[in-house]
Amino acid sequence: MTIGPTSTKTEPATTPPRDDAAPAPAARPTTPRKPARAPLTNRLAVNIVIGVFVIYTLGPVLWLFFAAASDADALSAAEVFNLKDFALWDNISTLFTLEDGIYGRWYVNTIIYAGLGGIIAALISAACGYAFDKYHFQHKEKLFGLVLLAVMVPQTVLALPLYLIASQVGVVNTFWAVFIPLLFNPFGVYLGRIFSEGYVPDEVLDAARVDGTGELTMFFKVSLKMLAPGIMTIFLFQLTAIWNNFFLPMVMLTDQELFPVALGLYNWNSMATVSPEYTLVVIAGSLLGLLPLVLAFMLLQRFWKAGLTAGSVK
Amino acid sequence: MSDAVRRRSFLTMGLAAPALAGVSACSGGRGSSPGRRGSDGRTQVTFWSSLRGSHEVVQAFNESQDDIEVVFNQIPDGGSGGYANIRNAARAGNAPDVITLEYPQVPEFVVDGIARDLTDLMSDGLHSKILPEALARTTYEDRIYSVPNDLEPLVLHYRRDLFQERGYEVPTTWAEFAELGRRIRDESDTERIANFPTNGGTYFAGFVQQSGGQWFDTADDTWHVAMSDTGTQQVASLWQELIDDDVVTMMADGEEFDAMLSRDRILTRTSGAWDAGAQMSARPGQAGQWAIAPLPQWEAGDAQLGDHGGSTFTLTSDSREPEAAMEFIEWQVSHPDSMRARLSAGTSSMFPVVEDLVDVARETFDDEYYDGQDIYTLFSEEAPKVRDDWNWGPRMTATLQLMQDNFARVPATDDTLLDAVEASQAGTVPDLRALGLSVSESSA
Amino acid sequence: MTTEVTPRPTGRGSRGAKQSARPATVSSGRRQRNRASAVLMAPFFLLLAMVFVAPLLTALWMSFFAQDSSGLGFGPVEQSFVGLRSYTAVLGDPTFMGSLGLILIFCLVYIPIVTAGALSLALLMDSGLAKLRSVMQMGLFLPHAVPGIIAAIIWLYLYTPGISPITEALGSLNLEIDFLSVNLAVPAVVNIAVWTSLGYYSVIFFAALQAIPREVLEASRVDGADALRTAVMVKVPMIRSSVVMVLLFSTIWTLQLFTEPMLLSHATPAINSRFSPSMYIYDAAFTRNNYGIAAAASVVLLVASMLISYGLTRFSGRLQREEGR
Repeated sequence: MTIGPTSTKTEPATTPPRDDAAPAPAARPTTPRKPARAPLTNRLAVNIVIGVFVIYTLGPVLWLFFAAASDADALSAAEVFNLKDFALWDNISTLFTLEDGIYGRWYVNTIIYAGLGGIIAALISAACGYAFDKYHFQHKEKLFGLVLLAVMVPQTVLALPLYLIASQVGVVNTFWAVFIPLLFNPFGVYLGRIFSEGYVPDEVLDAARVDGTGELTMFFKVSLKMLAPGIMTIFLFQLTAIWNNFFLPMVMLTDQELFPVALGLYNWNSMATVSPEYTLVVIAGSLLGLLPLVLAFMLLQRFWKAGLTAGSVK
Repeated sequence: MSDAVRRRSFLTMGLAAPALAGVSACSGGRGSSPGRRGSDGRTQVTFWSSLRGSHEVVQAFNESQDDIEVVFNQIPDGGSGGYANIRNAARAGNAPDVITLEYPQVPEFVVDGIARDLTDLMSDGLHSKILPEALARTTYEDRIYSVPNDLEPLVLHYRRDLFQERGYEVPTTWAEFAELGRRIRDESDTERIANFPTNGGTYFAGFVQQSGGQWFDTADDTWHVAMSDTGTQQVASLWQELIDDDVVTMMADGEEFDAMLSRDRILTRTSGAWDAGAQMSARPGQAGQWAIAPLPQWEAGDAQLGDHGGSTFTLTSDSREPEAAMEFIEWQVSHPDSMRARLSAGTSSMFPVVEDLVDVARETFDDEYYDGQDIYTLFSEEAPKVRDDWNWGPRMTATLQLMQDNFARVPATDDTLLDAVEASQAGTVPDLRALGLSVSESSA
Repeated sequence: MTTEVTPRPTGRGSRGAKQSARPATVSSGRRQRNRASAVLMAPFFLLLAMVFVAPLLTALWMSFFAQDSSGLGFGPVEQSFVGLRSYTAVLGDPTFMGSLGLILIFCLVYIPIVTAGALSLALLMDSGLAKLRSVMQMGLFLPHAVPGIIAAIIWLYLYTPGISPITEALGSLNLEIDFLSVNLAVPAVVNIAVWTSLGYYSVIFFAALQAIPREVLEASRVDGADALRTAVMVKVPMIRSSVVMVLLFSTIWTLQLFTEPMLLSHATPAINSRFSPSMYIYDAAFTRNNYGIAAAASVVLLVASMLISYGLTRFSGRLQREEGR
């Protein structure tokens, strides 16, 4: 797939497009460059170094799995890896029964916040990015600058005023207080503009215009389909962002029934310092809490990889 | 009603009142119209507390009369989120009528507009019944902001069995305490006289009260902050020396410390009177091994003390039934049935501020754990020694937290206890200034 | 803000095609396009106004106005303009400056480590010597898919003596290390940050490296450069824009630092409730109930973020201009 290498015009500070960014990863032959010439020791060293890093990145997640499958004794003896007593199912059933099974509630909430929120946010951002790409209007680049500015602003800066505004509107401690702010994804607009350049050729739109297709019809009938892979990428980014988000729910919510998994686990983990029986539940809850994202990333590899190179055009 | 419009209702852009009324249909069955009535026509008063036995007290109160019905909600204790719960409710405009505050938190809840001025609501009868040392702690500029429930003088818990076995004298001055501490250290690798709790800012404050320090003086309508004054320096240098000389341990008051107590490694504890009961529930196996003595003084014959723990009840600014709520508070802190109900919930050795209740407490308390020692008589002698001119500051939770954060650094770094106290002041004063309070500052 | 949309009179390059329609239809086409762009942008800009611009202005306003009660603070309050009071207070607060200092430490430690580490990893994978590259990539990338709070929970336990197999293993080598002690708390947080992002960034770099045209590399081979030289002198300069992006990402991450230390703060006194600027703001607003100081701290953090990102984009602009020569 080709991703808008010509997008540098969106950033006044950058120079004309560079050739090196042009071919997408798949365009390069994937065969190793100098297979035979390297000495065995070099090859070995390189692979060992990479292997060590992979152990570093994978190890903790593996530990989480083994810990979630251990009983309390094995955990507190730091002996999770021998799995003498495979307690995964016990731990998971405790997880879903503790406090009237509120974890299940948190899980559903998270799927709604992140799944539904991610889809809506991706569509909103992509539509806006598309408009930035395909249409011309006054102060366009200034507006786009505002979008880029919003990417850089730490969320915590907005938390207190957002909380106070929400409490004025009367939505504090409701679903909407968390859901609506998370639909805002300026980085998605940036990506949307780039994807629109890369995926939606102007010629196609011009042809549609000659046929007398209306602009909005064109967006929904023609462009949206072409943008789909890009929207998928933005969705993945947003899904991760919302799934990760813990600050906003912490500020807005006091009702446990509305919590996402992240906030629920945080609360349980604080309780684990006083009541150690929560420890195993937190661990099992963490394992289940990261599964959907890991699966999403594994199954949708080509979409996040598209996002990686798109961002670097910046 | 000047208190009703306070800092927390910050954004006054107009929308607030109707919007907030919409969310207030929360717990406690609170309606939006003044003068709530229960199903049987009784005036409803909502009450949130983390105090043990509150449920029983409320039940006894509701049965005692026909006019008022108290609706109770148990919340976690302050440090575990109880104060946050109250603050959140107050922000949303649906705080309960009556809340429980510990002494250090009284000024900050007043400054934040959550607790209200009770001076004109308190009956003269109640006023005269309460121990003046206790009432002084909830009084600022002659206005009373909360009604004390118990006052907890610092006392010395010690291992009577080990003291007798080895012929140790119970120390009556801090010099004797230090001397005994060195002896214990020299005689044993594992035993120490005491622990300095890194998370015990309130203990430290109790010692400072005793030594005549005044962190937050309120003369001339100004907070004069002086957290490293001479009294504080005296306390800090004593304990710093004991820490440096390995006479006392320094760790958090937590699991590890509990284990050391249970394994007979720590021979004394300084704590409020209430802790005698907590000790009984926490370490039933050590029954008969502990006794309680007055806290050591700086000079023999001195009679000055600080307190540790102790609770008060106050009305929130949101309360629409202040008279009924005040009636409940008065009953709660002064009626013998209230005391009986509270003690029926489990062992407690709190020291009530109303004299009539002390006898009730003494009768109910099972003195077997302390081998028949009449601890309430001891408490009665100690309570009047508690300073009546000590002020807690307007941001005490944060101040104590900062102090403890920095105490925790002491064992691992070159920092001293005094550094920790100074850091606490440095982190507190900007907060006060930003609140627009009159502040003056002095340092060591 | 979507109402001010008007078409630009001339187009450049392929954009010119849009203006190629017959003059008679231009004005109706323009109107249609204006309407379309307005409709497509409206939802986003509505959100921007609600959850970005409005809170930002509110924060600014709150940092200059307060509801004060003079003296001890027990009397009635009134609203007043307080000028820079909140700003002088927050800038005079050693705990806030300490939290900004932490950001500085992160910029000096975390960002170089993660950037250099990710770059080296990517170069190794691109060296032609690595095996199982797609599996390795997946493995390296995995932590990025782990939510921050869960990453913090995992590492909290891997730091906790008695539970952690790491401290256990070190213990059996007679190395008693308490990762949660006062002196190791900052490295412990840095490690979580590195763990979360290292693989992600290396995959970004790797993707960019794979996009370098073969001719360029062939040319440097002809010049007789060895693999290391090629990597440093040829490959790295060619993926500058990716490096800048990673710097930007990691800076944003650093400025937002909240979740991981917030969770660890329950386990170690070495991390307090004002550890990072974001934690300071949360503490000021929701624990200390001091809206003025929270708002001022927010604005200070905002300005710092703007300065850093402006600096970075200027820097990258200069890099690219130099490259253009």
